[in-house]
This record gives sequence, C-alpha cells and structure tokens, in this order.
Amino acid sequence: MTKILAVRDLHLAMRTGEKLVPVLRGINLNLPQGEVHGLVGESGAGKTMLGRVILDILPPNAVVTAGHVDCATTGSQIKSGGRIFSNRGRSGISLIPQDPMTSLNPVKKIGKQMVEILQLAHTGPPRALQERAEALLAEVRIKKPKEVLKQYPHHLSGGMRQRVLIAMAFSSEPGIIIADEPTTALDVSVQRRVLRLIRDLQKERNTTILFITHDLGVVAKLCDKVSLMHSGMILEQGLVSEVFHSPSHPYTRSLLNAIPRYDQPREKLAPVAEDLQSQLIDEARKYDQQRQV
Amino acid sequence: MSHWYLINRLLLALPTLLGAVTITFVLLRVVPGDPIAMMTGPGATEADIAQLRAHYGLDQSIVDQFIIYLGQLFTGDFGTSISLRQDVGELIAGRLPVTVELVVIAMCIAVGFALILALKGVYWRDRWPERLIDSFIGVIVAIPDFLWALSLILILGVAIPVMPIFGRMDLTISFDSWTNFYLIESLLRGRFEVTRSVLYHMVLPAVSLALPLMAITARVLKSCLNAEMNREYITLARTRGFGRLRIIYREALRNALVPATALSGVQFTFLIGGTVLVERIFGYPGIGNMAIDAVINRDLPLIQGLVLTFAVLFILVNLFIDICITLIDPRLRYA
Repeated sequence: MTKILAVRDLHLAMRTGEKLVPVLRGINLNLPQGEVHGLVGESGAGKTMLGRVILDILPPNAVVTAGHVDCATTGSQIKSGGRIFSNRGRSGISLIPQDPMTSLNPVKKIGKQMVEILQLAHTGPPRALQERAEALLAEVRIKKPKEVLKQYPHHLSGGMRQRVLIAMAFSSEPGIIIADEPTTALDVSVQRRVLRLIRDLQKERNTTILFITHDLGVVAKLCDKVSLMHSGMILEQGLVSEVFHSPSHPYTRSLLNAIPRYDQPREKLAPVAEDLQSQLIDEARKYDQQRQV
Repeated sequence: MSHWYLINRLLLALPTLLGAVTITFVLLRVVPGDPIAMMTGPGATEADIAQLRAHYGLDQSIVDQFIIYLGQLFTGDFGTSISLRQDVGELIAGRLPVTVELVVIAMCIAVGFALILALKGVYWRDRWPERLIDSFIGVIVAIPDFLWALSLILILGVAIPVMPIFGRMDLTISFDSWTNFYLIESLLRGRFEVTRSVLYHMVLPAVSLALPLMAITARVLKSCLNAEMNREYITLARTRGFGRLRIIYREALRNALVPATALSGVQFTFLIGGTVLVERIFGYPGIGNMAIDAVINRDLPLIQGLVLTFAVLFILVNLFIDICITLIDPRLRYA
C-alpha cells in the first residue's frame, strides 16, 4: 500500500510571551492509502492541533519544534523552521470541519462558493463548473441540487450544510481528508447519515481519512485503525478491533468503560479516574524536562 | 425588500420628527434670550418692542404659538426668519446643498481612506506596519475636527499659504446657480473653472471633517475584519489554498462591512455636528454656519427649521444605511 501521510516524531509548541508551551510531544503516525484512521482524545489532547499541522493552517504563534510531516498527495513537507506547501498542492488535502453553521461564508450563495473552489483545480467555462457543482451535491445526496446552489447558507439546515461541506471537501479529489469532529455539532439521526455518507464516498474513491473525534462509538463503526491521544502524546495505536477488545493502556480501558451501554447496569459506568488523568499530565511534564536536558 | 418596508419606515419617521419639532420648540421658548431684544437696538421704545412682539406672534402663549407653527408646517410654511426677514424654507433650501456637498465629499474621503487603512492593517497583522497604522489611527482619532480645521489653516493657510481657507469658491468667478449644488451643476454646465475652485476650497474643510471620521471607521472596520479572519469559514478558505489577499477581500470584507456600515449611521450624526464648527471656521456658507448665526440672534423660526432639517437628514441617512446593510447581508433580507 502506498504511504499517503507520515508524521515523524512531531513536536509542536505554542509561543506565549517568551515561553514555549508544548502541545504535541513526539507524534508518530502512518497512513497508507485508503485507511480511515481515528484520532481519539479528550479536549486539549492536541487532536485538532495535529490536524492543523497536517493542513498547514497553524495559528501564527504555533511552532513546529522537531520532527516533520510528509504528505504524498500534496508533495509537501512540514517541519521546524520551514514549510513547503505550494498552493497547487493544496488540492491534495482537504478538511471537513466541525461546525457546519460557521464554516460556510454567510454572504455568498452555495453555488458561488462551490464554483470558486472548483476553479482552483479545474479550468473551464462557468457553466461546466456549475454543472460539476450540481453533480457533487447530488453525490452527497442533496435533493434538488440546482435549487441549493442558488441558496445562501442560512437557508439550509445543519445537516444540509455539512453535506455541502463534505461535497466541497471531496470536490478537488484529494488523496487525504482531515475530518475534524464532523458530526459533533449534528443531532444523532443526522450524525448517522452523515457518517455513512463519508464512509461511502471514502470507499468509492479509496480516500485516506484522518478522523478526529472523541466518540469511540463512531471510531468503532467507521475506522480501520485508531490512535488514542492525551497531553499531546499518542498512548495507544492499533487496529480498531484489537484496541477495543484488548486495550493495553489503562487510559484506553478507562475510556472504554466510560461508554454508556444499554445492556449493562448504570453502576458500571465509571468516569475516567482523576488520578489517571493527573498521572498522564505528570508523565507529559517529565517528558518535557527530559527533552530539555 | 418590499415597498411596504420603505413606506413603513417613512411613516415611523413621522413621530420622530414631531418629537424633534416639539422639543426644539419648547426648549427655545423656555431658555432665556429674546429675539426681539436682539433685533432692536438699545434705543427702541416699549411700544416698538410690543408691536414687533405681536407681529411675530411672540405675545401669545406657548401652546397657541405651537399650534399655529404646526399648522404652518403642514402647509409647508417654515415661517419667516426674524433676523434675516426672509422665508426660512427658502433660506435653508439655499444653504442645504452647500453642506450636503461638503458632507458627501468628506464621507467619501473618510470611507475611502478608512478602507485602505483597515485592509492594509489586517493584511499586515502582527507585523510592524499594523502597529504603525494602529498608532496613526490613535493619533487622528484623538484630535477633534475643529482642531484639525485650525491646524490645517495654520499650516496650509498661514505658514505655507497654498490652500484657500475661506469661503466656498473664488469670489472673482461669477456663477449664477439655479440649484446651489455648485459641484454637480458646474460639471453639468461645463463650467469647469467653477468646479476647480469649489473643489479647491473644499479640500481643507472636508479633510478636517473626514479625518476623525476616517479614524473611527478604520478602527471599527479593522476590528470587524480581524474578528472575521478568525472565523471557521476563513480557516477553510486557507486549507483550500486561497491567498491571504483574496481571503481578506473576497471572503472577510463583505462580512465585516455589515457592523461597520451599521455604525456609520451613528457617525453621520457626529459629522453633521462637526459641520457646524468647521463651516464656521472656514466661513463656509452652509447650514451649519447658518445655525450658529441663528442661535446668536435667537432667531426662533430659523433654529426650528434647521433642527427639523437636521432631523430629516438623519432619518434619511439611517434609512439609506439600513437598506445598504440588507443589500450586503442576505441574512437580513425578507425579515
């Protein structure tokens, strides 16, 4: 299998005043073509930041301090000091965002926004691009795509907007897609349909997806492999079936126990232990100290 | 946007105008100061004063005076100026175009430069040009328009006398205007030497009015743009590979214009207020300058007419701005 994305010993820090606060601590990740890889962790674990490094849309105060990201579909390498990322290469990667309500430009019609994206990769008369946009909307199972193209984002529901954003993400035929909690802002019934849609489109195109989420249920349904993150480190990585059946890290076990199950009494539901949390944070601090010596 | 919306807004303006008329009318008659004493010299006899008082209806009760005034307003009669002994409606119609031209030019200067400053500031975010622009805006905003007027006169009128500092145009040119919109009329009639002279005389007062307005607009627009640049749809545009310049102009700008335009309605009030002092300083024959004379002479009908004019201007400008906002932001349509 072709390797699409390789993250090697990646360290990222945020500059706050004179200090560098570590955010990612030695991330290693390999995604072959066609793999759907779940990236799981609680808020502040660094999942989104990892996604942003790969997309090269870091905030200006974030610094890659060591390691690098190689992306085959964009032909780019991101490492400390320099980023090589040609605008043309951008069509090799795209993002499905978390919040469909704020991710479309509110003052532009859907059709205009889609055509503008298509213009980046395709040349051709506006008419052809318009038809291409229509076909894309039909592919994400939007009924009456012609009418949706003429509408503004606020005319559409959250689920519809997420479908539009998915169509936009797939429109440049990217080799890899970063999906950053794409269903968190949607209600449960819409969530399922959107997940199935992403899965179907992924299968048709054999796209590699890095699926960022904090929902282990979604990972179980959608992903081939999974990485568990905490404090900017990957604690456990492996095939979903293996990790879910025989978790090796105590944090993973604790997370899996925290999933509510209808077939078990409520008493068995245990929150992630606080001492385990602080232990993980201590480990992260020790790691930082050792690196500085 | 329906016609009903416009009709509704205009109807709602009527109570506002009535309020403005009532407050001005009552205040002017409660506040000390006698127009008759101002127009007659110290040698006037009691009988002369009483006769004049009766002539202008000032011997009647405030309520009676108000009812008569309102009745005249409905027939389009603004009364007769006490100090100038001319019809108030005609006086204002002659002076209003002067101020309107000045204000429109000042607005254009202010908005144009505010756009440039805000866009450049956002483009160079977190780098030294942004800090330079911020401090420049800070200095400009701290100095009020009449001080700008005086400084500009001192620098460009006295120290290096390159600009005219008095009046609307060169007195040696004769121009018989039909509308008093010298700028437009002279252009249409091909009297370009008039246009030149009017523009030349307009530079200093317009710039004095524009500078503080420009600074405030630039500051608001810049912070709106910066807020837009942190939005999710901008992040997405970045992942697609759109350049920073394009993202600012074609994604963020239109969104940032919505709050900035809404605020310019408030700023327009300051601009109108500013014309009073600035026109006075430059001897500019607009309604602002006229308002000062009217107040000094306690010319009650003229003051009332001018306040009413300011109120109408304010209502029309705000209506215009509201329409602009709905054109910019599709979410505000059909509401």
